[in-house]
Amino acid sequence: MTQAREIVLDVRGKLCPAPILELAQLIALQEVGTVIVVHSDDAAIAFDLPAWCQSTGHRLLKLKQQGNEHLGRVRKMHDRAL
Amino acid sequence: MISGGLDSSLAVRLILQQGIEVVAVNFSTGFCLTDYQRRVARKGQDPKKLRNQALRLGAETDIPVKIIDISQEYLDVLKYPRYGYGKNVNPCVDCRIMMMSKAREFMQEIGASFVFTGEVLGQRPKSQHRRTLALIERESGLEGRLLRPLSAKLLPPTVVEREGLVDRERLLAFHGRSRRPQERLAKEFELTEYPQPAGGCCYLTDPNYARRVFDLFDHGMKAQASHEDLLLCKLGRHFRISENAKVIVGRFEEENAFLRNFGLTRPSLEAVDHVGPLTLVDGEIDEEVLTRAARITARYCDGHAEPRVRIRLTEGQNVRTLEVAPLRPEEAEAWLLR
Repeated sequence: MTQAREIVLDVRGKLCPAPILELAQLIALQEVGTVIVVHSDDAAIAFDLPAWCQSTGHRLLKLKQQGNEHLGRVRKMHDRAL
Repeated sequence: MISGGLDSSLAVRLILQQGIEVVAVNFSTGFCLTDYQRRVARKGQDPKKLRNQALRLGAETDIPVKIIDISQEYLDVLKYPRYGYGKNVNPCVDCRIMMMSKAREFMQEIGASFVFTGEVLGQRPKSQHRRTLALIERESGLEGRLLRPLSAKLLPPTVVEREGLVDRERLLAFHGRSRRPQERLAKEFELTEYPQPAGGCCYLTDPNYARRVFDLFDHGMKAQASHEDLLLCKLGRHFRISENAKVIVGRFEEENAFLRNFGLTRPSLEAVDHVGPLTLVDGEIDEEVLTRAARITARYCDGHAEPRVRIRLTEGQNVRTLEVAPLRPEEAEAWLLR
């Protein structure tokens, strides 16, 4: 079994909607199955990232907070534009 | 097109109820109150209140949400609105035309049949009158394809209603500023979580903010004002201390921290021996301007009753100390932009 490709998206210092916009742009360029590791210090990402995944159908594998930072892992589930 | 407020939440559900596939689009102008609140979030503030409401609505209703950043193009709309401003610096008609035009482009891109919004006839003084709604529809190129489900029965039937794609009988006739019909419908849909006031988060309608922006425009900055300049108008206390310079004084810790980010491009000042604000100087700088800025900084620090206060001035890599008398309250009042 091959390991899924992982790409880091560091959006620390950026506030909504920038992290979600950058995630959407990046994930669109990847193959299905790729995991995007999102680093963010926007407190609201704890709500925005699960909501974005829910509405777009990509899978939120993990979301954890370390101090002021949040680390999210999102797997690309499809090739639809939205 | 959704904001995620109560009206768009209801409009989305009304359309979904008819079995119609919905894709949401949300525009980011950079002038949403939540954008500002995120930047200067106070310690202990509930992050849930800072969430993106459009994404929340998308998740609740299982519809995809496309967020489009229009903040750069929006500057021109803000500076040169063809249809003028509302009561403050809100170019609501031009704003709606721009957003609807972008929504039309998105509609065409994804092959959708129509655009709908949560607008309510007569709810907002500038942009939701019958004639204005028609104007916006025409100017955005959406004639016949722009549906307002909450007020549809009071408006001419759209193409999608006439063709039967949308059942007009199941749309509503909300009108005016009262929120009660929306609240009743929210209960029917068992909605408990939606922002208050619904969707009305644009701070261009704030009178204090508008005075500061117009002051900037009136002092030769209209053409060159950037998003950064306009964001600074939202932060701190502002003092017009000369024709070409003004001072911005942080009001609380988080605002000071955020203003510090702008200290790389503007002189900044802080009291050396006392707790106090971070002050930025914006515009043309000379010694007179810097001395005035230092006196204002002294006025708002804990040493304001002292005869002399030491103020640290940072200009790029250069740091020096000025010793000044705190500005008297009546002097500060004269320069304060309210």
